[in-house]
Amino acid sequence: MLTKSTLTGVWPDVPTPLNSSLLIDHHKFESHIRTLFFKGVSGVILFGHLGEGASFSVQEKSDALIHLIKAGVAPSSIIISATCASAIDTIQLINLASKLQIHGCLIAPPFYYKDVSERGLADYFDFVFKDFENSHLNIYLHLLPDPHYVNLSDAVIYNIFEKHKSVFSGIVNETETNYRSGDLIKSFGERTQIFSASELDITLLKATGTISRIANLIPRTIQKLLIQPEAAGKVFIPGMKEKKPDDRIVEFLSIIENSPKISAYKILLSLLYKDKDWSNFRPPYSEISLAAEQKIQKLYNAFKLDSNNE
Amino acid sequence: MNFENTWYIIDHNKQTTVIAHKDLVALDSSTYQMIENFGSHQEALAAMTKIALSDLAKANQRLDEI
Repeated sequence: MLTKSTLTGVWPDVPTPLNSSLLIDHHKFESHIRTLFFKGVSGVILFGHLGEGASFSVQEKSDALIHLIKAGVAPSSIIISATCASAIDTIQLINLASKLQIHGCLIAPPFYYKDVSERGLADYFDFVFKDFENSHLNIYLHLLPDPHYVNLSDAVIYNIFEKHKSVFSGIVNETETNYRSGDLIKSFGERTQIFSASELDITLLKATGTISRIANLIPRTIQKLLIQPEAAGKVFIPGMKEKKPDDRIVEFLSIIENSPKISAYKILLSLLYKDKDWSNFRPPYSEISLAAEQKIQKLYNAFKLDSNNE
Repeated sequence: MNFENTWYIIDHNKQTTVIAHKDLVALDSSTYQMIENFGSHQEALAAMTKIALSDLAKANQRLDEI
């Protein structure tokens, strides 16, 4: 039996702010994370898919992590994505996470190579965890969107979990495939916890915790859905319809529909914080077209975000 | 996370302003929108200055268009 995860509450997958030199802006990173904790999130995911994790070196990630902890962010409320193109970099990040006693790491197979065999994937996890002894660091198997990342079949996941029973605390599904979370519950729900980065999966998973991109802007709405899934039930007031948390999530998703996600979230944060520098991107990501940006801005204004309550 | 000695940028009375935690908690929450939290007064003021300069640039641009 695997150790159950202690991931509870809302954990935003945080974008990484950059200064004009396209280096990590530690102060902006800190103030965004402070604001999220003020709004009640339980923890943050750093350098994940939305956090442009593949664009930063181990040293940059390490410096940011240390800055945040020194600034007062509790290590137990930090998860870092340790997915790297090099297995050695992944091991370095796991060791750093263990040393700093953060909550855990997300691990996906290395990206870039696409023609890897199932044997190769199994060997990769054997290599990464061959000297892993830390019992308090939570390791989550991270499933990322195909075709950007290597797709892990259920058979491969089963083999990885069988060989490394004591390592994993759960599976985080960020594949952006609608049925994947349901399939994972059927295949692995009895042996480990399944988390989804899709907010619309919250009621399906009946989870106590969730990883969320939307929570960067409306964390309390995600929290309400997590704590009171029955809020998704019908609540009508004569003459008007009360907005339910999942209505707001659908409305929010329509703002970023058809836009590159990293760019869209950074533009939204630049609007929320009235700070154009939030939309700095490290190449190969770049600014989206002015027309697309104006469309996001128009939809965001119409959304009328209530930052005190959402 | 401790917020006792932190600072905020808020929208209050149609103005964007910097406010200390103890003053924020004294406000009626229906009268403002909290924008962002900062660990120090200096950081909050630096962010506020950027917002003011950005608003000024936008106002200038609108004037130029007229």
